[in-house]
This record gives sequence, C-alpha cells and structure tokens, in this order.
Amino acid sequence: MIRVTGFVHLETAAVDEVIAAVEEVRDQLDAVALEAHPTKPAAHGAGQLMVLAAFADASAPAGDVALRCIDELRPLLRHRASHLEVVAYSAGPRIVRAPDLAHGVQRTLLLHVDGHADAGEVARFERSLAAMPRYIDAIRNSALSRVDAVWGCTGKPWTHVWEQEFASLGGLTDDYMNHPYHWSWVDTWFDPQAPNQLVDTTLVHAMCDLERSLLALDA
Amino acid sequence: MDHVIYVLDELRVLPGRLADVRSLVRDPYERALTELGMTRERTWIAPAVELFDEPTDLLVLWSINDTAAFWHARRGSMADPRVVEFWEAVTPMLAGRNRRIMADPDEAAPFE
Repeated sequence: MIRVTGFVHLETAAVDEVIAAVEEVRDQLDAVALEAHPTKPAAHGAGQLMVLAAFADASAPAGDVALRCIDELRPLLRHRASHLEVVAYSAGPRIVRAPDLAHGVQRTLLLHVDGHADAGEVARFERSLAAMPRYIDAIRNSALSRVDAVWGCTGKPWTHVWEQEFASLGGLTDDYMNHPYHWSWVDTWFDPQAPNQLVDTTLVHAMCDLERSLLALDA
Repeated sequence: MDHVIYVLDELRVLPGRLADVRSLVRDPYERALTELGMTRERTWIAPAVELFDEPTDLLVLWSINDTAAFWHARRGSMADPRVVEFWEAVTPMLAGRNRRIMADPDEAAPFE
C-alpha cells in the first residue's frame, strides 16, 4: 500500500470547490481510498485542505505513484491554491485496533529527523513514538512511516510521517496532548532544550475529518 | 486529573565555571522561564562542594502547574530569545547535561 498525503494552502472560500474537484478525478487516480477534508483550526503549517490517498500498486515506487496523483490534481489547483505540499510513503509499522473506525479524525505529523543523529538514537525515538498507542488508548490506529518522496517542502525535507486515527478530536486534543507518556517522554526528542532532541522544530501538525480508516485498509 | 509537572535540569559544570553558570541560570534563564509560568523550586550541587579537577553537577528543579501550563512554557520557550541565549552561553561551560520531565507517581497514577 502506497500512501500519498497532500496539504493544500488556499483561500478558505475555495475549499469546497477543490474538494468537489478532487472527487471528480477519483476514477482517474485509481486510488483504493481518496478523501479530501478541510484541516481543523488547530492545524499548524498544514494549509486549509488535506488530501488523503491510498494506492494498491506497491510494485511502483511511491514517488511515481505520487507524481501521477499530483499530475491529476495540479490543473485543479493551479488557479486556486497558493501552495501544495505532498509526501509519499509506504506505510510503516502500524497498530490497528479499530479497523472499522468511521467518521473519525485523522492526525498527520510531518517531521524531519536530523541526518547526523546517532542511528541507535533514531531507532529508539522511532520505537518510542510508535509505541504511543500502547499508553494512549484514544489512538485507535496509528502508523509511523519513513517518507519516500516529498514535493513542495520549503524547509528541511520531511523524513517521517506519524499518523493517528481517533474516534473524535478530543482523543487528540485531550488524551494525546495531556498524557505523560507524550509530554514527559516522547516530546523530549522534539524539545530544543532537551539534550536528546533530534527532530527539527519545524513541523506540519495536521488534522481533519476521516470517513473511514485508511490505516486499516490492508492491515 | 491534572497535576504539577517537575523539570529537572542536570548540568555537568566544568571546573571553575559554577559561579558563571549559576549566574546565567538566574538571569536570563529564570527570568524567562518565570514569565512562561515555571517556578524554580530548588537548586543543588553534587557533590556538595565545587570540585577543582572534575565537573560538578548543578541540579535545578522547576515546577509547572499542570499540563496546559507545560505546553504553554514549552512553546513559549522556543520563541524566547533569552532561552536560546542561555543555552548558547552555558553550553561551553558544561561537560554534559540532562533534562528529566517528572511527576509525583501518586498524582500520576490515573495515567498508568
């Protein structure tokens, strides 16, 4: 399964029009799943619209799949979007506890891990991040994936995508943000004041509605 | 249930630099963190005397009222030039450092 996630920066007034346009190219994209939703107000660096796509063609490089997707969407966005940022990735280690999750909330975090960081520390960070659902029950499904290809990134290229699916927004804003495993452990890898920081401070922190679980598609 | 969060900075101070590091902790660091909602609770050195030939540990314990205050301070410190200035100034005087984010296990029990 190849995942392609896009973040569209555009005027709020154009969001519905672009969502409808994305729906019109669904057949051409040959996607297993395709959703486009406005980002929630708490999103940061994510634009106004998220496009979530999943493709079954695991034999093709994720970048090639993403390029086909971008080429289909580009004409729709040319006159409406000020910026488009896209990541393509094969889903990494997943924890799926709610395969039937519907009408939930998708949270996507794009991050850049320092390329000079010790490989053992990076692996420890990845294990710790991926283990969050073991402590935080509100994370119904999750995946930590390494990014295969990036378009439109204006800073250091994204290296990881950390996705979670929640039953409701409160699972993210309350359970996830307030849990001590998050603020006392995982966050230290993100904190510039912590000596073990290895994640760049620039992040895309995005969340939107989710019709059905994408992480459960081939789990 | 929310509870007090403690932050313990463990600074391994090079010989002869303890007074300089303590001064920087008081200003600009403590001034900045206080404005961000953090309180300096205690300061220790270990061992209980500054060593001439080896690093001495300076332990600074901060408290934060609750999780919301933690995130406020966490985000605010990223944007405060005094915090950046402190770490740039103090790092050459350190042999190493650690930071622990802590809670009273009795208060933290509901999260276990």
